[in-house]
Amino acid sequence: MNKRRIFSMDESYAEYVRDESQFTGKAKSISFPRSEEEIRMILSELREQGTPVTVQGGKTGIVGSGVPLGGHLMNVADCNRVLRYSETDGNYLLTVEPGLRLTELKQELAKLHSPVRLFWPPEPTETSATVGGVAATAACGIGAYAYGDTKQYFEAARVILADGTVRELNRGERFLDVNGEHLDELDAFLGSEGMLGIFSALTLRLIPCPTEQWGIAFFFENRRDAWKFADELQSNPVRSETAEVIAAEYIDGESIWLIEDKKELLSKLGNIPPIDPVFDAMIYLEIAGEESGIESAAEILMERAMHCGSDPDRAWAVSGEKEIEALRTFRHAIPETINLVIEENHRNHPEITKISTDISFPGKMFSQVMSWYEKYLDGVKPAHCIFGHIGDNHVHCNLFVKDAVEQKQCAEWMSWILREALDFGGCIARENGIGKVKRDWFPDYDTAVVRMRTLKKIYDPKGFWNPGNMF
Amino acid sequence: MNQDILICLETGENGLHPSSLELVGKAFELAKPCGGNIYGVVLDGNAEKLREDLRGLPLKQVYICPACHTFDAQECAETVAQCVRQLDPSVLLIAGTCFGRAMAPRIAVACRTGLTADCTELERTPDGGLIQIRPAFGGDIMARIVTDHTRPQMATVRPGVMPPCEREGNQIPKLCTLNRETAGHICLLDVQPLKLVAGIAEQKVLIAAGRGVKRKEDLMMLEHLAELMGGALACSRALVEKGFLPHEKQIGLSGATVHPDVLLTCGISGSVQFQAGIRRAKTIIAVNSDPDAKIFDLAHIPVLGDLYEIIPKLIDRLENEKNNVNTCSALPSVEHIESV
Amino acid sequence: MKIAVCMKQVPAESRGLMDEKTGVIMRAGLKPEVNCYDLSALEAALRIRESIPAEIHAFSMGPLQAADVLRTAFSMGADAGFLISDPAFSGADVLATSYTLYRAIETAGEYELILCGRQTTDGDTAQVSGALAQWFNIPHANWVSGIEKVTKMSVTVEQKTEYEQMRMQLPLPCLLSVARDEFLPRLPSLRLKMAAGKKSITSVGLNDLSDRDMSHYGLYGSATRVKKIYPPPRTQRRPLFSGTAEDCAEMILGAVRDEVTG
Repeated sequence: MNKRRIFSMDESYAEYVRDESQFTGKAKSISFPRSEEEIRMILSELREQGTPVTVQGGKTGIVGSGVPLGGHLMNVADCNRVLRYSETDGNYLLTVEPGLRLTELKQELAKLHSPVRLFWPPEPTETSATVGGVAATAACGIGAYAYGDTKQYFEAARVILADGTVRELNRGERFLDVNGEHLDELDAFLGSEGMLGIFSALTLRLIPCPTEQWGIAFFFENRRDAWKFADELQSNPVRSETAEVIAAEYIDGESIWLIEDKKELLSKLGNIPPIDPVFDAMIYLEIAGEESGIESAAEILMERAMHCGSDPDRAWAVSGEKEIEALRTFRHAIPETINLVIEENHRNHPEITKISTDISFPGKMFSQVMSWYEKYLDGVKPAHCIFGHIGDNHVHCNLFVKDAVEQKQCAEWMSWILREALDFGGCIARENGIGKVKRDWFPDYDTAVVRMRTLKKIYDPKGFWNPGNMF
Repeated sequence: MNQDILICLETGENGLHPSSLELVGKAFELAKPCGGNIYGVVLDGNAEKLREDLRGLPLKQVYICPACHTFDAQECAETVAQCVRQLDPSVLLIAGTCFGRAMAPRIAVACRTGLTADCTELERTPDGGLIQIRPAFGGDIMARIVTDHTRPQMATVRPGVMPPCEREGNQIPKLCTLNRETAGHICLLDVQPLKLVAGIAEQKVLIAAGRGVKRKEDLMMLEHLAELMGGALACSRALVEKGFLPHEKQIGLSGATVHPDVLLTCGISGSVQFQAGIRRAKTIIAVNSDPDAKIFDLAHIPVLGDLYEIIPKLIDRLENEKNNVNTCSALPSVEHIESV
Repeated sequence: MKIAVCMKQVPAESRGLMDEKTGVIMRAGLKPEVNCYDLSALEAALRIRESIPAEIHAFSMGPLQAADVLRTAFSMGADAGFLISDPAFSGADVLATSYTLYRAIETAGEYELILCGRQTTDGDTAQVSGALAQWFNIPHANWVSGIEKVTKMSVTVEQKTEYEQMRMQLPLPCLLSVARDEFLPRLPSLRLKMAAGKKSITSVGLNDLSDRDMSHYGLYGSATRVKKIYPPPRTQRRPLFSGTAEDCAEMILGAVRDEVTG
């Protein structure tokens, strides 16, 4: 094992000190370990030197969590094997290495010799992200609406701590009391943005695929009608005995026009027909279950949509894996094209980074939250767009700043709006993380930040891991 | 029962279509195991212009029906069927051009015989059977197909798959005019040359530049190479990020999906996002100085080397060839000298 | 006006799911789907109906599962669906398939226009459309990139071949095989999709045809026969070629020539 595993940083690795946020950092050295053993060997060398380590996977992050500010950069995308599959009493568990990408996971699931077809509910639309990245951010998928929080779909994790010890964290085994919160130790690590340790293996809890699944898109000529529809979805959930709505996404007119504008450049959107520019908003739903149950649910939704002014003859309805994938690709194209535009602007003005909110407002009505955003966006100069999950009113508002001055103004606006959101009952760090990009915008008293400070003292007092994230 | 082969020949502005020469060449080979003559049939052709084009080709006779219109597959198929009834050939070969593919199935039904389209290889047995070989299931499987009882055994072959026929000797095959039995019913309103929209997704040959290309000026060299190879320049995301090339040139998950016959990557590491855009490329040649580059997992021809050394050599070779071809065409053809 | 649209169900793409040990493509668990090119044919029919009154009938030949194709056709707007299915029909080549379609469409009446997709994703390259036109003894055009005008007597179309763009007029009845890009299929509408489940599909079996001679259909009615199948040479990570810049250039040139000239 004499082969050099740690490489000095140079121009050829330039792409690794940046992620989708356009935030750029630097590092002294970089490594691409292919197994837990290699990770540990590299870490012990770095520990001896006292060099801090930043961990990264797919580089699809949008807050710079995986971008180093110095020290060593460890890219685990090559640690991507499937280690173990087990199935007992309807519990389907798959243990994988952190670098496995979500697209690869899907292929692996298709290859399993399981009695039923399985899937992993946390399905963020960014399919080239890694499982490790999902664990580090606790990213939601669009299925969070019905399937719930991402963390419950991790059954165990193998983590390497700053001092080199390897811990097996199994759900329900060990609990901590952090600032009055009673936390499962595993949950403490999920969403920790690589600040407490590095995952070398993750055990995923899989569930059987629904028998049938439909994807429906309703179009509204006035966005307030879409908000009304969303309100009703929240106050009166649509559910039948054998089927339920599993995803509910809101997409505003600005987001739609952005995609229409950039569509030609994205081959994969070739199958989606053009959307009439008269539409001001759309709502994308997925219903899963038995066919008859789905049809009853669709019937109800169709009537509601009509009452909200949406023409069911112009609503899209598809079923089948391939067709739904096409609509999900469309949904994912929104953040993707946003990131493309930001990248373009960043080239002309290097100070520009992605500026987006990642706030959920549990317990509020969707139209309340939309009005809230309207109020706070009043007078904000750069163009913006809003899209996201209707459940918990977890939408993302993206600002398209054009120069350094606007970047500064919007950064200030972000700091302000995060505080206002907390006041309004919002949870301001839900799935994208805080990283370096949002760090300065976050108030010190935010629960996530406070929790992390405490956990950091417990697991990484010397600050070995991902320095610069969160605080 | 004869073992003759009939070929549908196509003509265009520049004379005999290259695909026809390929079929004649293949027919010559296919005639060897069992003997038999090779015939041609031309629709919508000019007999005088055709003569020179047929010189030295191993065809016994060529039927020509000037009254036929190539845009009317029904009319052309009827005429070829007529020719088939006259000759009763063992094999009928048609090029997989737009014209050929429209006509072939109609002829097959008219003759109540079998047809295998897009064969990548053809073989003949000593008793005259034609083995038709082609990929199935999107290339996942190769199939060997036969036509047991009916004749002619029909196959279409894509242009560019078989090598062209070498001309030998000075003979011009006999020309025989066919009368069109029934007129077609399609009326041509107008014809225009096709304006090709050349985005990178439509290109057959692509040179893709990656992070290994250090300076914007270096792209000129790759642009030149693309020109010499009859293709276009594209790139990975890295160069769009650097501002070297516009997004229209980007290959990958958030760019174009391409399916060229030849993709030459220069200094591209081959990220997952890039690979997603090139899965249908037929031949991937990758040049990179990093032996661990991921692109080498996908490349059909992985070349470990410095693009700054290899590309100039490639350009030199291609330029030399171009110059040689130009000088050759200035020499008189050997046949003319002999006949004098 | 009555328009017949031929739609085929094809296996889902393998999407690289090959069992590395055996080299066999794994399709288990991947549902078969509508040939995307045939959706364009249906789209063309729907666009025609937007300008003149027409009845659109979808025909699909295959096992019972092919009924899904017809449901999709309903959800996009087809008026009627015919499932051409019978054990006697299976194993058919171009000759037998086109003959089966011909006899089946015949049972449903007379159509002024028959539309087909450009090709299929599972190998057949637009041969069935021409063959079908021949059985019906009607003119046909492939690579139709635009349908300009439809009258009671004729249809004017735009066709793109390798080199040319042509405008032609075909008398009715005729058959058209349409291109994909110009006829990007609409996504199903919710209302139509909900109604699709309740619409009835007409089954067409051997005994419904005017020619019930089994030897004309399926495997027996085919003129070609697959003698053998084998996997193509498998792609594995190939050894890196390295050498002088000269050698590398030589090698690349050779590979390019092989590819470009066949």
